[in-house]
Amino acid sequence: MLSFLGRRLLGAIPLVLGILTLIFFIMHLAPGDPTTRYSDPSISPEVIEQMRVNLGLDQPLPIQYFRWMTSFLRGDFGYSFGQMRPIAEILPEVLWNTLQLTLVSLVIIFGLGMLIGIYQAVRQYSAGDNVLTFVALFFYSMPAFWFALMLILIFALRASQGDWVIQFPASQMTSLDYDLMSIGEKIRDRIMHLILPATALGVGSAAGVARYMRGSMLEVIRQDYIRTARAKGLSEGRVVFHHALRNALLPIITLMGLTLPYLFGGSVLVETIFAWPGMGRLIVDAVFQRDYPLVMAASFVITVMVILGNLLADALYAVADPRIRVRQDG
Amino acid sequence: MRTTLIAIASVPVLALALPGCGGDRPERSRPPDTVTIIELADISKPMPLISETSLDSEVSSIMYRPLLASRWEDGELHYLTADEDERSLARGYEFTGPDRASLRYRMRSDARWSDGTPVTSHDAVWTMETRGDPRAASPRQAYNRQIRAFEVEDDSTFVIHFTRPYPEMLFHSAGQVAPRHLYADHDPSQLRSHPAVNSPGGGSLVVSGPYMVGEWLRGQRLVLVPNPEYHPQPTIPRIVFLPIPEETTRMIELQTGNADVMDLPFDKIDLIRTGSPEVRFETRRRRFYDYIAYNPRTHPAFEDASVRRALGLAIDVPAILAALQLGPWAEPAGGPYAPIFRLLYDPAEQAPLPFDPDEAARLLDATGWIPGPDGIRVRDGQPLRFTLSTNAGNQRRSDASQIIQQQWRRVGIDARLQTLETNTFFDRLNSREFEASMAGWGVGLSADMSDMWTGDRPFNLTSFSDPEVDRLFDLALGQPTEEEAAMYWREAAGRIVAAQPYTWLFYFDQVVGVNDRIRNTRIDTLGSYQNIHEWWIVGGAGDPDRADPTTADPDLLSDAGGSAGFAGQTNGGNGQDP
Repeated sequence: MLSFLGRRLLGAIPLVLGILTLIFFIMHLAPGDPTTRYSDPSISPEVIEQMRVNLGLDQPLPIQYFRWMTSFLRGDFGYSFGQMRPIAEILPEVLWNTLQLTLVSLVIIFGLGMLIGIYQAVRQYSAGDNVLTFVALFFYSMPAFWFALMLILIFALRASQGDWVIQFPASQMTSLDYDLMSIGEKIRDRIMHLILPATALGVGSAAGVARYMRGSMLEVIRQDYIRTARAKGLSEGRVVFHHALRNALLPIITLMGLTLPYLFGGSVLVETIFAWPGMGRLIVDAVFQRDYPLVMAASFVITVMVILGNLLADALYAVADPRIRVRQDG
Repeated sequence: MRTTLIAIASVPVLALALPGCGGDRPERSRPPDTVTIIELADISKPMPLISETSLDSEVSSIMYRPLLASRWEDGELHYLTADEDERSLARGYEFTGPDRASLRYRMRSDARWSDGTPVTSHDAVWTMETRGDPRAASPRQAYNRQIRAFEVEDDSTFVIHFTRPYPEMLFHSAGQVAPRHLYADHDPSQLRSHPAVNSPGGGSLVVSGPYMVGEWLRGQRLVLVPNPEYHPQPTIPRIVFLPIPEETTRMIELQTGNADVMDLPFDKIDLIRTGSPEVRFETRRRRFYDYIAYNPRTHPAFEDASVRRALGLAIDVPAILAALQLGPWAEPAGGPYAPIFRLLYDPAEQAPLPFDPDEAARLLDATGWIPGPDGIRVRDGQPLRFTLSTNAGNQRRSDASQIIQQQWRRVGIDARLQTLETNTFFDRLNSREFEASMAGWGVGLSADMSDMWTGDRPFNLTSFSDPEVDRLFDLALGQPTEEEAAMYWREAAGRIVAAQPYTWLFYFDQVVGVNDRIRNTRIDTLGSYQNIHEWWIVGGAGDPDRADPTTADPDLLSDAGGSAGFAGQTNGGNGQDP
């Protein structure tokens, strides 16, 4: 198993370098450069040229690429052109912001999605199953940004105008007086700020997971060994959660593995709507500002996560299904 | 398994019940003595020498004292000495030398940086010298074009020697001063990565103005707190800038009372007016205009001034303003100087073009563009067809371009619309790779428009060329005062308007929504935050009716001015309006 993972990881290195090389040249093909934003008659062409020299953009593209790659291979992502500070400082801050949001939304996606899917499978064709199918399709087909705006309009604006008991903040990660709060108030404040964006991110995908889970569970609970388990007199809960769930999890595990890049890549639209300073916004801003080093560093993180996500899915598959483990070992 | 799932699902519910909230309605997230300002984006460089965006300049003006603060009054900029405005560092100034081409500043001796170091003439001279240093690549480097030398006479007196007397000697020299002792040992090319600039919180960014950076969480908030070395102390103990990119979210923050000040889109003003009576409207008058630029290098039809004029005559600007609900916030434009400039705006020479499709058709007929079988005009077998590009993300321009496309179509002009990503759009605009472009300018407070209408200057987007205009520019720049230069600027503007390299569409205001609990604001052409140190909060910090207005000071409630200037001028320069 370990040698399998090792081989896959080694094989991924040229893939990562190839992807980064492609991104580097595609980014530089886009019109404009970081100095385009100085569109101001009072800024002389000499100043613009000096800025380009200071940023190293006066060098031919192959030399810029060689410099960037050398520095990257030494583990140095360089300086952000927009923020003019080391990218190694920027990424951890922003990654942590994104992780807070995406981890909570993952709990919603898989926790809620799996529970609903299991319920629907066990109660197939019941009124509850039909209602949940309708609701799941409703949320699944709803764009996240629109859902996010509706959440804000209802739970921030209407709640404020109607003086509701619970009102949620429309933006930011914390309140302005966060530093003055007690520990309990701080935790509550963070959760209050997380609920709307995490819900906006999670509910649509949870509906998708619920559909997967329902289909997978339905397939499993018709198997002979489930009938056997029931015949042995096991409780329904034990049959469903102990015997059926493990086998029904295989497609969900694949989904989990593929979700890893999303964990670190964030969501541009939801982060923008809730003014959440995460990876999604960072990458889009960097692309618009032609902040090449930052785009490259963020692309690297996401590329690695895609590869690791696939690896993780394979590994979890093996954990969940002994047949796969035997084949890989063999 | 079930127990674990229930436990996970219970976390948010339990958290909501943590101390401080119980089942009560939560407190608003805005502390009472804090002013919350919402902006579209975060600041970039909080240092006047290298400030890049208009927000940078506005925030810099809060944190750094200028040599001479300024005020917009009667359609022109007035400079104020320390006796007239507390923020000014100069007690006085005088033009010296045989041809009055030198300017001596006498600075106050009681001003201190936030770390306690005195502000001296060495700081002012270092700021201007560094501004002119190519390595620093300061956006205001061009202000040094006419400066020949500096001479420090003592700690509070220095002289600037210009190459010749010209009208903007004060404009180019009276701006914010940066602390030499913090940056002088630093490589000028690395100013943008200076630790104090990148981590300015907790007093590490040394400033001289009423406020300093208390905390800067990039992408989240910038918190300004009073600078203990500034006297008299500002009224409000905390000012927070929040960057919120999404318009709907910004509006909700204003409507829910979580924001006090923010720029408003025109189409949301009625919504705020009816739904949020606690919000009042203030305006930055006519500092911006939208235009269509025609590029004769890429389309032969645009070489002819009559065709450009016909294009303008075919556009019904008042109808566009009505359709876009711009109401009282905009007016048809006729030339490069907005009506706010008392000395420069000439209503006769820069009158907006009338909507006259018949005259447009006559001009097009006269220039050989005859309607073809499909209604599109043709000359020498070539249809009058071109691409009108604009930038993405600006709904006003997107809507206006579609209306204009229809209006042009009625006189036989076929414009294909193209919306480009903002960077791509400006790159093509600046490199003149466009046929017709709809864009906007933020109008600078300087009268000098030579960079936009002379030879191969980078912002002469339409390659406009008129030797007589060049001569008028030279004459204007050779006058000792703005009053004497104004007649030449006006005449040059008249000639430019006659050639119609642009169709000037409309001048418009920036409307600012202000929660009525914030008082004593002065938001005008000069900027939004020019007297932020004098603002006070009803029932809170500085309220004169409050029993204990702890930080209120009667002197603070007097009227004073904003700052213009050289290093990080408050919106002094032109700039593309995205």
